[in-house]
Amino acid sequence: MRLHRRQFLATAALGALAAPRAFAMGADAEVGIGLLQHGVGFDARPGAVEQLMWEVSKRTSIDVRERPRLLTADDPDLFRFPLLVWIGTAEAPPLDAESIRRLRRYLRAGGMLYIDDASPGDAFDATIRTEIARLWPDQPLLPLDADHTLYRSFFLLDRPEGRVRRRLDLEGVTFDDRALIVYGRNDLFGAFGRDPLGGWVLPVVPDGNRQREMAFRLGINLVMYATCLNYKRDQVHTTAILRRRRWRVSQ
Amino acid sequence: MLRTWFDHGDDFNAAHLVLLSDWGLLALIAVALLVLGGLALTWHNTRELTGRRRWILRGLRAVAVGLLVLLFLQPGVRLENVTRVRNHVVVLLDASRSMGLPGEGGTRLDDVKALLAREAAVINGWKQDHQVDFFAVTDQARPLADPAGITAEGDATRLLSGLEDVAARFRPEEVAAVVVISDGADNGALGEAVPVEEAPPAAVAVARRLQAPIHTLFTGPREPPRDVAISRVAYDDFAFVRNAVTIEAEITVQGYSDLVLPVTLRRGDTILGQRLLATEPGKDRYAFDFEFVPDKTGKDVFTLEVGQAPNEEIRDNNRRQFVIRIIRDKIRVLQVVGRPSWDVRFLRKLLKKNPNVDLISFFILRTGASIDVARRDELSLIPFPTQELFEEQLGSFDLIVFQNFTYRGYQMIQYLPLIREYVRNGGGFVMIGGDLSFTSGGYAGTPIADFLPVDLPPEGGDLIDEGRFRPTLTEAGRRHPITSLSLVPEENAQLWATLPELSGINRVLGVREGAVVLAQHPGREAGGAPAPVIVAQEFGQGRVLAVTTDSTWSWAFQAAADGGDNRHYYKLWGNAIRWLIQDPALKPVRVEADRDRYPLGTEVTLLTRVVGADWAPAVDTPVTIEVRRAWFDAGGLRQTEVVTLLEGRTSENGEYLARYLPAQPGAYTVTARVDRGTDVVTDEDVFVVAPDPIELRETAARADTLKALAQAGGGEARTLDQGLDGLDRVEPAVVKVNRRKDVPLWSSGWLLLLAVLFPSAEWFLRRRWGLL
Repeated sequence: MRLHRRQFLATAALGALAAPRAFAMGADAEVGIGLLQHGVGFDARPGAVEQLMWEVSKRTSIDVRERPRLLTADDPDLFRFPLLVWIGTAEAPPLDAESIRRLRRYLRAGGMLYIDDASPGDAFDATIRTEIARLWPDQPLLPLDADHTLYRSFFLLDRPEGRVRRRLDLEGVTFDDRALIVYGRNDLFGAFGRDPLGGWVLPVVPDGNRQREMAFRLGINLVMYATCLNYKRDQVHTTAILRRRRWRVSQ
Repeated sequence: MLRTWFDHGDDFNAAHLVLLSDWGLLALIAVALLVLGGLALTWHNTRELTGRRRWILRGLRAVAVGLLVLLFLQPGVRLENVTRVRNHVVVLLDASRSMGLPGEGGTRLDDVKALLAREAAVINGWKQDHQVDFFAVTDQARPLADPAGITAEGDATRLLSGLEDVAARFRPEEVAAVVVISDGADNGALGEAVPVEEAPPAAVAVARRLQAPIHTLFTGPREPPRDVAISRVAYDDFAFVRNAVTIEAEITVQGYSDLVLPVTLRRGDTILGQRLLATEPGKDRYAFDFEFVPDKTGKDVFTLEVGQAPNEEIRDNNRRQFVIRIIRDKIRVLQVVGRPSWDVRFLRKLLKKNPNVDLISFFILRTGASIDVARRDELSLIPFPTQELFEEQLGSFDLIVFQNFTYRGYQMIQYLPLIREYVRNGGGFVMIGGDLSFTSGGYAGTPIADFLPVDLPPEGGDLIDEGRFRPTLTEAGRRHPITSLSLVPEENAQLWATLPELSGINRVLGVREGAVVLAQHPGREAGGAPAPVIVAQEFGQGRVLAVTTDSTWSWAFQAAADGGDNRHYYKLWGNAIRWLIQDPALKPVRVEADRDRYPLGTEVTLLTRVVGADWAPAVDTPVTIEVRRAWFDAGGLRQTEVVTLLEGRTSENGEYLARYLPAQPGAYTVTARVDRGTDVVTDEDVFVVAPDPIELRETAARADTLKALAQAGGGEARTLDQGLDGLDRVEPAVVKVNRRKDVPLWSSGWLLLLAVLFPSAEWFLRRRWGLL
């Protein structure tokens, strides 16, 4: 779509003109994250979700609910949180059949599950691969392409960062043109937590603050993707994004 | 000839040569060998002679041998009295309207009638052996009892179709000949093929089926009539709204020079384009293209017209009317979102999944208050192209969705009146609630508020109610197409009662006059009535919907928590989109003519379907149909009149079938009107009644088509002046021999005398020349 100088200036003016943040429409209108209460480590990253959502609210237009909601698969409120995060630090017991059934319905209805491997070894990874196969046996867990919308839903990212750099891509299960399960092994939420004095709870290795910033950007992209889906894959965005990435654009 | 010579008593009706001898094959071979031997001997023993003597002797010997062979074979004439089934000479007389144009004497058809009178003796002669059948041919062949009574009223000339009809009517052995008498102005396959093919395959094929010669007689003037004609109009029966439509026209000019005429294309009364036709020396065909962009859906009558030339003989072919149905290719939806949210996410998914929706989304991902820590090239943000969306491309959208979006901050104030005009002119608009919608979005007192179905409170105060609630349907909502999750009102209300709760509404002062509340808050009030949640309203020609909550997404997602699914959410928004874009299927009354174009004299069938307020077929409901005709008077001005009113009642299927026979050509508009007590609902359809313009699009007589037809059929191509006498015909087949008589030729005394004379002459000459 052709852009005009006047429109560009209108957008640039966004930095100076504050859109009104009126009264919220209630808790259901806020974008919040549910934390899956299962296995070991779901509470191992205290304050991480709050910090991420605070960053989301400060950097984007999304109206957020900062505090996560701890949810089990059979929680009646599970379906009020379309973005569910499962953090694990060790091998987890298998989900029971009812949980599998309910989570599968959750995913099919439009929910998204982000799984964050915060474990030092591979025990959680083994659990996850088994549970994903049970949750969604029809589609395999595959690496997400480098041009996946998740890497450009708000920030343009080359790779996923976290507290550690164990893997240079994300994996996911794609169905109905959306990634309904995304799995990262870099302890994404480990990069977010602050202590009561404002310091970072955990160090980020190997690249410190720059890596932490890129982890936040991935977290923000994750929330943006959960709320906008493939909006950034619309043609109107594609040309601009390719230009910005200095990829070849055919006119 | 033979019968005339030998049948002196006129007792026989057939004669042919036969061999009366009864020799066997061996005898015939032996005689043939003897003849060859005799001739060879003569050849050999005369080789020493001078040229003249040699050829005299050889000639005498050959004749003598021939005569002996004749005597041996005993030739004769067999006279027979036989019974035959007379086969048919089929005469196809062109009865199309072009035959009423000037010919050499009177009209072309008058000239043909004169020929038939002049050639009556020839035709009567044919009747001795054949049955002569006359057919009038237009786009088909129909039997003609009295050729003298034929009239030139056919709306097409399709000679090959006429021949196909003849071939279907007769078996091949039943046809003696086909005689086609026409001006050759064929507007079917023959006329199209002849300029490029001398013997069109289609003509050859039909000739093969007939197995009889096809003769043609051409009638027409030496000079073509002075005429300006629309000879071709190319258009598609349907086109897509807001997509360029091209109509191609070809105009033929005969007998005029230095002519300048306007060529005009109209949609109804509106002129879509005008061109000038200026004649050029040596050129008789002129092509024109008209391109326009239809801005609304529906059927309409288009008129292409070329001005009349001075003293033009044929005026019917200066105007063509046709119907084009303008449809949507896809529903173009503009979704503008003030901030990403779960409500946005589920509505976008719904819109993207709909294959009939072409979705343009713009989400405001960052506000002025957002912290900017990244360089611009690290962000995927693009500018918000307000001018392009709300000024340049606004008319291209069928539906605009403002979802929790405020215009403030984007220099959009100047576009708000344009959006109001967009809706007034037929666009669809829905505002979905949120903390950036309605008054919270600053819309109170703006042009947007002019068409919203709710009264907006001024800014300040408590604008939002956060509580959870389950909306209830109003009486209108129980039956309205938007909120009909089921066609049965009671079941519909039950479904609504089981939907998950919503949360939060934008407060409004009340609903506007004319707005229809479909769903309302069970516990909050606005203007003394329950607070509206879903409100619909028509504004000008457009439609508007207000949804004062941003939580309908729970019907897509939370509904699945207890084993349900999102079908009610999809149904609700699918209904809303169809209502907002004024989907014809959602009209309570629909009238439809069975065709878009009728030849004059054809009955029109009009089907009206009516549904009640509950969207079930309306039974035994009075329907009034007004048929209005529009035509152009002699001065070229468009006139209209109501030509009939039809009244009836719907059947148990909610249908009323009416028939009408238009008496005049023109563009017709049908309006069906149903009084439902509370309101009057109407629908319209259009059709064209015209003499088929194809016939007069080419007025020049064409001898070339008739020549090609005769060539393909193995017959003769003649003019009227050459008449009918001597045309080749297939003799009828014999089915019974009643009497037979053989007249021997070999026993003639003259033949015996010659048989003696020639050998004697040879003997005499041989002796005289010393060869014996």
